[in-house]
Amino acid sequence: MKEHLKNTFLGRWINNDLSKEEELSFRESPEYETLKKIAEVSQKLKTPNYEKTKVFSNLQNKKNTRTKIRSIRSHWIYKVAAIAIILFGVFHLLKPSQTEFTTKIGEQLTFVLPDSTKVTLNSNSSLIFSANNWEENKVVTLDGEAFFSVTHGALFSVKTNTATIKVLGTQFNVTSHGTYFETQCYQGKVKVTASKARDIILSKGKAYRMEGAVGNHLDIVDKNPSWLTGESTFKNVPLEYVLSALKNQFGITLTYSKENYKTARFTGSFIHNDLDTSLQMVFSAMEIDYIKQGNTIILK
Amino acid sequence: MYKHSVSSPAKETSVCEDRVFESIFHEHSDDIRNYIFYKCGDQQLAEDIVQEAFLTLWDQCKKVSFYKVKFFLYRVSKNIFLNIVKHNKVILDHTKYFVQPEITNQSPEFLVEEKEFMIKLQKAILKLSSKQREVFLLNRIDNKKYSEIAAIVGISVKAVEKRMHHALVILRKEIGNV
Repeated sequence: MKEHLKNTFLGRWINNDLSKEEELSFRESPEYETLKKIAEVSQKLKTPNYEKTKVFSNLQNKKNTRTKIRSIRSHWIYKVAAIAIILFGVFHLLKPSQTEFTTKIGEQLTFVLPDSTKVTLNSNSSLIFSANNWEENKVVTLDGEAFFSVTHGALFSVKTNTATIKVLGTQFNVTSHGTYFETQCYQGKVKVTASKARDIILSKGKAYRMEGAVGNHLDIVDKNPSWLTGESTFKNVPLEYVLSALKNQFGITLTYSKENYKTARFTGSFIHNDLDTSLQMVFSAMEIDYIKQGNTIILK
Repeated sequence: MYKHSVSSPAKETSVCEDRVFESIFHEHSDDIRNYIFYKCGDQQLAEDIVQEAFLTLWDQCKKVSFYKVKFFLYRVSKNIFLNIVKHNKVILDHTKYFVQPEITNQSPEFLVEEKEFMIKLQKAILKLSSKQREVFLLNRIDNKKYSEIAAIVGISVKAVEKRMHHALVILRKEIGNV
């Protein structure tokens, strides 16, 4: 057995890892029979019964009590919740609070910005800015129409859907309704930045209008926008925009086929304190017949 | 008896899920229990250690990857056992080591002969060193491959072969030639 007693031989034998020659010569040795029997019988050995079910139910009990303790002590969701609450608080403190001015239909509103620029908001419009963060963020966001009378030296921007107007010390008017945009400069200068277009600087008496992506330079003759004095004036403006101005002013419903008036343009004005006169002023000029039924105007 | 745990489900299986934890218990607890039983020869103690090892797994379920669960359990239960041995000496009750196997459909003479041999073998196994015994029994009873035994015990495959070899040499000496 000399060789067989060395190292790993029997370990390899019982694991069927011997070569054929090794295996055959080993079978000749006197120890082979006993070892073979040990290998066989040892596989029939059995350990005492393992009470697995009992262990598992004990485990479940202990596990559940531990889960409770842990969930109070250090469940991650509590940490996350705590951090979220703190962050929310901090965010709220740091977040500039927004000031919003809005006008309803037929309303006008005049107020001053933190740098004492006077703003007049036309009907059905809104203007938002951050009052407590004004120094860092001199931007107002406008939807609708507003006239700005800027204090000398003040610098700020007016953001609309279509373009941003940079104030260079001035008086100017901004209208933004959907894709229709116009700014009129009555004093000083403003810089208009519309997406994709190059910057446009408007000086006194100049206006810039955008209908969709198309921009046009215009001249103005009035000293102030007419709407400040109870009248809305339009010069070669798409009729649709005039109709929405009427709606904003009088709170009426207009029923008409958009197709019919797609290309129609209007030059003229309407007055703010008399609906019937205004309707006549607009529609007779355009040679449009209309029926007035209460608050609804039906165009033919 | 042994199933590869690698064949188990998708990537983000969390040990913390009750369902997963339960399946881990059913897959591995028999093997862990036997392993500890070979070390201590105490049925009750082995069950206590299994329970403790699985509780440890539960406590650390977030840190233990599903694929490393098996050897985590072996390592933890071995440590628990060693701790117990260190603090209060475990007296191994060798007489309760094995239950007699049921032998059926055999001729009476063979049955008697085999039973005698079994008793001799059981006695001889008690003469093995604890290191030899655990390797021998893991292989013979639990059908563990050498590579797996090596991983469980923390030795090389070569060392497993050596321990098996020496175990067989001692067993043969104790039993004598048939």
